[in-house]
Amino acid sequence: MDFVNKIVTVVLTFIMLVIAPITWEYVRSEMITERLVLNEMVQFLDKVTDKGTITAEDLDDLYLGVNSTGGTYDVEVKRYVRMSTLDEFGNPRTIYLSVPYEGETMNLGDIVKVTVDDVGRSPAKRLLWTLLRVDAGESRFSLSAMVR
Amino acid sequence: MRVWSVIYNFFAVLFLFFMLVTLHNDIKANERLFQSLRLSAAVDYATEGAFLMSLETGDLGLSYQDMRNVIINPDNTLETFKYILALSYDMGISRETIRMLDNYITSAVLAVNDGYYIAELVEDDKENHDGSGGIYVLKWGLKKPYVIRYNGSGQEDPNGHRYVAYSLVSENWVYMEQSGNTLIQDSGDRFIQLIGKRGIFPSRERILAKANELISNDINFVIQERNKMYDRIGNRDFVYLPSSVTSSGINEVSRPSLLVTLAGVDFAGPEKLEAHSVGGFTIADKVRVIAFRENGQKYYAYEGQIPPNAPIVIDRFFNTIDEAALQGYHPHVRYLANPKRSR
Repeated sequence: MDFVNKIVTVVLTFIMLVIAPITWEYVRSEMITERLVLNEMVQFLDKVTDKGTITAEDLDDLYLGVNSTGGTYDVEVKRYVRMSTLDEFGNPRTIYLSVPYEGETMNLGDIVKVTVDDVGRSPAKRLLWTLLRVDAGESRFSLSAMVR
Repeated sequence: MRVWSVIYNFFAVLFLFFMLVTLHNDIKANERLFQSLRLSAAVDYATEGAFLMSLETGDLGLSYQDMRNVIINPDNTLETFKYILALSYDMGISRETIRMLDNYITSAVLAVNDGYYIAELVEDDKENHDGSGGIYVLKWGLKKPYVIRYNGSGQEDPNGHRYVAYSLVSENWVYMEQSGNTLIQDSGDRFIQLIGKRGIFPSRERILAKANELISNDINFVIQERNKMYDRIGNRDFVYLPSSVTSSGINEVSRPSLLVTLAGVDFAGPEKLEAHSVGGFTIADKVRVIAFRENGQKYYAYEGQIPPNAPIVIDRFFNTIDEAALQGYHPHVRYLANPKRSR
């Protein structure tokens, strides 16, 4: 009985002193990373919607900014042009069509959409999976803004 | 010895429990912060885009500061807001999505120079073709003017029988007086006329204060009604618009602007969120829609998007692409991606 108690003590000490702080720190840094990525997206959208063009430098800036936060992200930028067609009842229906933006000047009313997809497996996710077999799933979010 | 290790283990388990609870709360707080940041960014962009779509101007090239005589048309505003929000959250732009988003917009106000529109739920008969109606959609209500009531001696009086509607930026006014069964109507574009003819002394501060008061009252009424409808009890939604810029930096409504509040947003993460946004921005220019024929097919595109030597026959011009579509013109997929004429 004494022996079992000792084992439990060692295990608990290990969990409290090693695993818990590491998990905590990883999860916290992942949360901060997400916010940094959001900031990068907002900066990019503000810039390109003001200028009306998306150049290679803008894209490099975004890719570098997003990936320097620590995670592995797939970034996708799309430009949508608003169009209006008629549906079967003769009512106007709005559609947004994705069109190329390379070397083009965008128009007022076009929508730029940035999608960030967390394709990598962060330390926090790996640790949670190893310890608890919990998978938080991939985080993916978009933000869109209209060209001014 | 055994007793001590049991005591130690007991406390260790207790501490571990505390740590887990703290970690859980920390994750939740961070998640909530991130989701609300994201929602407010998405709503800000959507408001900005929606406000831009409301400007029905020619090629004025005005900055926000000189927006005296800009015409604002609320037609596409709410739709554009919902489209951009839907795109930000990776939702398809279908009629169902748009109607679903209606539920989260507790209120929206488009304040223009001489009045304001407030979004209301109305029965939309167009949706049901058998005439049963029953489907409610969010639409702009009637335009409400910025009215101050006066009594006979020219003093401000909430029960007065003389009404004056003002404009936010210019000195335009409309006067209305009810005496018995007769209605006296007058209007002008200088305050001095109002002072001379009617003995009413308007002040810019008072008009702004009144306009903000009217909008605040209306928006809060609508929010309360909407929250009742969706059983959002104990909702903290309350909008306050000061009559001048406060020390904490809250702006009054003194220029055309668009206000949107959202509540009970449950598509943006595990928790329900709220968001508020005000838009009001620089106008660049608005170009017309050209309806033309290419190879006998009817198409539309914006001014300047059609290459100079394109083999087309121009039919007519439209203000919006919806009008062009209603007249049977199709979007020209290739030309619509070209830049509009840069001026």
